[in-house]
Amino acid sequence: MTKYFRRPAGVKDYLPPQVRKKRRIEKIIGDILEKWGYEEIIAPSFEYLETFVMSGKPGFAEKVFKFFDRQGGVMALRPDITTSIARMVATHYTDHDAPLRFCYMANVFRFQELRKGRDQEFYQTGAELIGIPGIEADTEIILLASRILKEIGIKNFIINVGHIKFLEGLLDEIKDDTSLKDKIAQAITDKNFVWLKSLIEKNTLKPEVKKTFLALPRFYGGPEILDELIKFPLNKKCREALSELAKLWRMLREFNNIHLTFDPGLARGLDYYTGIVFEIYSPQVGFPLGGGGRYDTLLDKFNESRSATGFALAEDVILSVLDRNMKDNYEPYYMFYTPANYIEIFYKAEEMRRQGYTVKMVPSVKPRSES
Amino acid sequence: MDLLKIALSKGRILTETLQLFEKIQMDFKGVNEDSRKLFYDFEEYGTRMILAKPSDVPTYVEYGVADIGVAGKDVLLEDKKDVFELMDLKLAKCRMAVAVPEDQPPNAPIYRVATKYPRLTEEHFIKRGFPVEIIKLHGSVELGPILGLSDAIVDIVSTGSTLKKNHLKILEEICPISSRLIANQVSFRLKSDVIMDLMEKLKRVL
Repeated sequence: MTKYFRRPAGVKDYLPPQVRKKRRIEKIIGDILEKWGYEEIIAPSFEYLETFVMSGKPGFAEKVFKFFDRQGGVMALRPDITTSIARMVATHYTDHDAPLRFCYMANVFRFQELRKGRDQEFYQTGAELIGIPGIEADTEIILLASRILKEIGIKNFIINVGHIKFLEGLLDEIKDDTSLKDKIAQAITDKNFVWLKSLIEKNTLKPEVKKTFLALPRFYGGPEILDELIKFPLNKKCREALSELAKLWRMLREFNNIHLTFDPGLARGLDYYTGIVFEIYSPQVGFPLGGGGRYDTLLDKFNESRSATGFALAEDVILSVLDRNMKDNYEPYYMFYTPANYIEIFYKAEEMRRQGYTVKMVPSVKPRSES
Repeated sequence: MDLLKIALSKGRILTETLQLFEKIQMDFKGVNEDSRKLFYDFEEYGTRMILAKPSDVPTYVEYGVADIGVAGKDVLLEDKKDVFELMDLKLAKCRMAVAVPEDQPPNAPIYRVATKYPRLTEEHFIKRGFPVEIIKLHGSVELGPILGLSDAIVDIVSTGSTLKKNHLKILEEICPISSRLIANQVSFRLKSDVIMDLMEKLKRVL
């Protein structure tokens, strides 16, 4: 019987050809990030669970791998890097007023249900811009993400932009019924339009509010939908969100080859993000390539009030798109030695390595004499 | 032009689904589960129809190998895939229900429940506030109480005749079930024009 070694579900073995492709992409990304002034940061692989819970994402605690330290403290493998960066800023940069730019390439861990084919460990490349509240920061983050995708060879991607304040403004219209409000928020997050429709129709809401909620799925497209939406009777919060999106559009249209769409119903974790949010899609894959947005209150939770925005790219999704067209051009030289000429061959190999070649030394095997 | 890939559930619901598409002038001639073919291209409508097992439709859509699909709410509730639920197509209407033997006295305790939908069943009984032991079966769930395997079953009920034949009665309805139009999160954006157009047409005939 052959012995069979099991590997947990949702983790991957990266063998050398795959690693070379991964590193090639990472090298390009790393160079761009560096040129744009984003300094690499390395976060701990695990932190106290409470640190991650502080980020406030609902259901987050269920999705992290937990274990105990010797004192019985609950530790968690990092489910994202942004939260650790927020903690680091609060620890190391309290007296630092200038904007901070950080980036990372790291593996994160999220518990997934078995047999769904989802990764439990996956790689994220991200950037965070901390300390600039204006639209220019959102613009930079979106431009940076799209520059990276273009440089590594992703074609025809679109950046889909929404605004959390727009959704919050809509939800504010449901004043008295918090349970209904939560349900509607959930339906929007899950993109369950059937449930959303029945929730809206069954309950007594102002007719114009109803109309806006029911129209939500339809509002997706170019900047013209912002003009259409502004015609709706919306409250101040919604209008502010729309005007910020219009501002972003006026900024980004000055740059070539940015394919932007608007989606006021885009909900990327309502509790975490506070302003402009975005997701990036490619026709070649059924999952987003990445996404991000503004999270101005996350640092508050670490007693460090600072505005911030950022993105994370899903490296594994990106690699699955690029993989088909990437060649692994690995061509090492092999130098054969015998016990007698080992030293001589070693020096020859060194000489070739100095000239930039990859050299592997292999014992030369004499053809086995037939016995 | 890239075809819109539509995953359809095989079985009882397939005829109904095809009839619905016929109403919007999309006649998918030849789509038939008796043939061994698993997908059919209709260049004239710009679509590719994929035939799949009902419980697999959400999986194809979640991964984006199908852009949209027609799936039962029962499957969506049980599997909780990451898909957008766009429309209630009101096909294959039935109910998810708890059923017990006809002669079971009211308020008799339920300890064990046989079902094809363990997750949904567990959620329901947790909401009711009593924990039950769930036995997952793959078919003929009605056998559970008859053979003494379980005290109750949770299953979809349409006319109730299967229950009657097996001397079971509905104790409680959990929720109504029907077919839904679902979409992949990326496809819903990238092919929004085609999908919205299709939804508008379907809305008019429902």
